[in-house]
Amino acid sequence: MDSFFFGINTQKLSKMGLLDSHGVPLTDAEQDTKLSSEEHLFSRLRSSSFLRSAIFSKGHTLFSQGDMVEEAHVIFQGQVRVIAGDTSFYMGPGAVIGLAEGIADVPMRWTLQAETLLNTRIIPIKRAIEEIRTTDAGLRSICRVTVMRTLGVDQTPESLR
Amino acid sequence: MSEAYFPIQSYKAGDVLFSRGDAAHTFYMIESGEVDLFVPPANTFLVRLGPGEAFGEQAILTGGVRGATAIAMTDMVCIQMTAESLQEIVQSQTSLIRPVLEGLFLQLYLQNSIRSAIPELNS
Repeated sequence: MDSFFFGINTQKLSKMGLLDSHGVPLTDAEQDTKLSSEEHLFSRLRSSSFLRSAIFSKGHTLFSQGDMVEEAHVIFQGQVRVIAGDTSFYMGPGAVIGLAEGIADVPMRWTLQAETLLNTRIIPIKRAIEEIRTTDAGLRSICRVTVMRTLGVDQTPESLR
Repeated sequence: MSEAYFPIQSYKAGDVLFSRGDAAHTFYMIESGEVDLFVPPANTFLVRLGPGEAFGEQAILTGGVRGATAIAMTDMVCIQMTAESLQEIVQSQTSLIRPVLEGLFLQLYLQNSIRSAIPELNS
């Protein structure tokens, strides 16, 4: 199971100059034709001015199973080892850690440790919930349904009611 | 999100909006009526959704397929959005809600990949 790896193919983005601060950014039209939806999302999150960066050294435990989430992470460089009971696997760039759990106020199901030097962007959960509560009903509904599908639950979390 | 920008579709009770395994191109928001989501072949009931609720979020993801079958339980009216129009809405946001939405979609994408590759984690 250790051989499983989940993440975005950053080699493709790197070749397109999207991961290089000296590269020329693609126009929206170019991105529409050259990137998948997931690569789009990753690229936009990477350049978001709303998120601050964090660096973690190899071996750092981002979350232990049962932890509550105050800050979610989006991995931009490096990889984490995910320990889920007897199973373990790896996640790398593009992995979003703890966002749905934090918004739903449920504990982390897995333990995640930095397998390499890790560069992430941080999404503060309290502010995320405030934004969801004050956004329009349509986007709030989209947030709610996406959190529920991600966590595999059929009851609306209290924080999203 | 004004309904004026999106097609509105009516369904009759009993209509199948989509079936599990179908390619996902459309995101639905319920204006009126109710829909049930089932998972075949045992038709396991997942959830009943009503006015103001949304479903079909797989449409935002490349190659997304329906994980359930959606059947109208009553006459329904839905606002329907394509993946492109949904992405335009997200991109037009100018606050933290934008990276929150993008992060949630990306987390769902990875979670679906993990569930598919390591099914024992679903239990």
